[in-house]
Amino acid sequence: MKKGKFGFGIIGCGVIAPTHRQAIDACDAAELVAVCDTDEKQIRSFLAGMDGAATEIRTYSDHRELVQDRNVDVVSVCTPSGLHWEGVTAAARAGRHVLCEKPLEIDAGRMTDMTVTCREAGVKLGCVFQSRASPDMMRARKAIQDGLLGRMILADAYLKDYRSRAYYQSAGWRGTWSLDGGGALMNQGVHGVDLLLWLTGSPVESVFARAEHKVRDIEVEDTAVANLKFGNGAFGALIGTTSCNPGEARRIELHGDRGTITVSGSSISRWANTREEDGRAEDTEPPRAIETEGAVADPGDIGSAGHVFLVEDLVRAIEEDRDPYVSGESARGAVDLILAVYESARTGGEVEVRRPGLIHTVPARHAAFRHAKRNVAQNG
Amino acid sequence: MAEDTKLGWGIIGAGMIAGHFRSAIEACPSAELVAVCNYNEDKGRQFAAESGGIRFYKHYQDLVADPDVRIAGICTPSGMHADNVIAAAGAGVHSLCEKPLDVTREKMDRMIGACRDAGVKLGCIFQSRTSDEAIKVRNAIRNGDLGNLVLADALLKNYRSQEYYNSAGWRGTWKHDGGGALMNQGVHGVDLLLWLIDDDVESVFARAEHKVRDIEVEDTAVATIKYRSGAFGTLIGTTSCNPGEATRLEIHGDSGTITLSGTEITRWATATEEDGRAVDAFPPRQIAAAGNVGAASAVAPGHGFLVDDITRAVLEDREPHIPGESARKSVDLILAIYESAKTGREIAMDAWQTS
Repeated sequence: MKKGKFGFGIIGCGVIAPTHRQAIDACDAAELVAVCDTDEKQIRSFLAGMDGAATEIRTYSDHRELVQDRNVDVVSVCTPSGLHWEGVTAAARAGRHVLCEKPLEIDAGRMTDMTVTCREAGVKLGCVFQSRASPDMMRARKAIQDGLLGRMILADAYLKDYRSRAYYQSAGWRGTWSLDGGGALMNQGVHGVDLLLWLTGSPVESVFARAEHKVRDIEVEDTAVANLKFGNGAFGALIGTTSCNPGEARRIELHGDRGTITVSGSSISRWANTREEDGRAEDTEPPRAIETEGAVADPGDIGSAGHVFLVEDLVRAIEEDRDPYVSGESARGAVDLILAVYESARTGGEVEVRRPGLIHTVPARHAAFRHAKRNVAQNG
Repeated sequence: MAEDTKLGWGIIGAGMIAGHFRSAIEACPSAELVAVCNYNEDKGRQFAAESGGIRFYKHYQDLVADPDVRIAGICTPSGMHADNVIAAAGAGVHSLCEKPLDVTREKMDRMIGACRDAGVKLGCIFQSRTSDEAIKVRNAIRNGDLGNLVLADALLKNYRSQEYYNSAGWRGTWKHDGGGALMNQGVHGVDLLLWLIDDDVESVFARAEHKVRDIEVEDTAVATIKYRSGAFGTLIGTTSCNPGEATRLEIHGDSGTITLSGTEITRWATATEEDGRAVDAFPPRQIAAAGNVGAASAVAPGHGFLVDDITRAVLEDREPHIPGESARKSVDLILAIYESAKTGREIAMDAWQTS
């Protein structure tokens, strides 16, 4: 290990792991030292993508061994969503900091356990929501916090994706409740849900929703619509689907009585406001970026740029002993909302979104996890 | 057609929209404007004088009793439509009613029943339904070009100033407007969406409030819909988005998507193979309402089409392009939205309609 660098270990060598590897490589203060996967083939193909540099990487088939590796300072959790709790809490108990892929987890109690365990262990817990790393999104959030839009009226997210039947057949855990924890919203839409909440800067109080798998033969929803009431009084609509054909660019539309900001894909598509009481808002160019160090222009399109920002941020958060840019507590908001959407769809009634502080139930480690994990290995 | 076979029209309500009716009637070879009625006499007499000295009535009951009036153009505030139409039907006069049909279920029941019993036609103005392109979209969806419907959304984000609501005493009141952002501004979009997808709403959950303007009715509403086909939908209607957006309708099936923005078809994508990815089929086209033949035309888009249509419907004894039963669907949905917002409960349309 290079001197003065933070050693990173990756748990889960699936599709997102190479992005973490690239981000770790790009960060001067970080170095990949170990990887883990229950499936040896996954490890081999991951290492094959590293050219000659792979020889110094230690490999593990059990994440509990990786977190004990004394060269590992930070653990990147890249397992299926429903296995995040296991990876994160194991790392924290071994005194390792954690960068966890989105969503934080798929269960409220587990998320509480993760954030509490990391705080008690004195380790940092960051989550990967790379859309928050874009300077455009940072500007939009700051402008809204500064009152640019006046009183918030409506905050909508239109997350209309397309996934083929072949996509859901490509890995056994896709579209399952136990490992994906949900579908169009929990998996594909969670970035947009997080961005909606983060930009609005207000939690959702209550939700009425419908969710079903309408087109694909999967356990989880491929289409969901939700009617939101935010804590700041605004109304909102949340639409998440993977069965719109051919699919649309993600849109987030934020309207206040004094202005509008809309996001299309990862860019700002409208920025309009008025300073006058009861005046008509006028379109303007968004203000020039105040260059945010390390921020990326378009994290959605530039492979690992958002991950680079978040890896560098986590390293600095450790050095400066501060919260990471996307803390666990902040990252769970999107999941709490999506779980409320599912509960409303299941019960047919309006549901209050639970607040993290009110959650006390923490599930014991149970056999279902082990079983699920074996399935992952088998389905590789 | 010879001069003597022209059908006589009377306009009830000489406000903003009456001019559209007048120019449409003048442009229709089988129609002739013969009378106008307005409760404010000065305004009504002025309109009559400007219309070539047609007869003026203060009361609509007198206008519909005029033996030369065969069709009434109803241009009064929304909450008076049923009273006007029922009086017309009682006198054997057909009606072409401005949108919305009326603002309560009971009044819509009565006006439709009165016209049926009297054997007269009842048409409604929804000019968006009149263009060739809109008809093409509807036919494509009915033909199954989008496959199974997955989502059908209407985003109706408008802006109205406080001055707008102050400009006429009846604006923003329950009694005359019958509602706000949805019933008044949004009703065209709601009607067009329901008509294009040729589907009915099974149930709806909604929130509606006046958040910004000092009015009785809602300036912002969000509705979550389940259609009878099983598709989901979202309806957003507001007059307090600043500066407001073009009306958008987004219709998605498992094998295709059609979206409209304002009067433009912005996307038309369909899949040619089973389980294949939909491909954009042609560049955006306008769906400007029929009759909009250029800036030189004095005839308002849509009104020309619908005035001509109901005139011919009377002559040919057929249903008008937008009959009352079809026009009431958007109002029924909007009323269910208000009921849901008021009670905080989901409204099942069937049970509620018969309640």
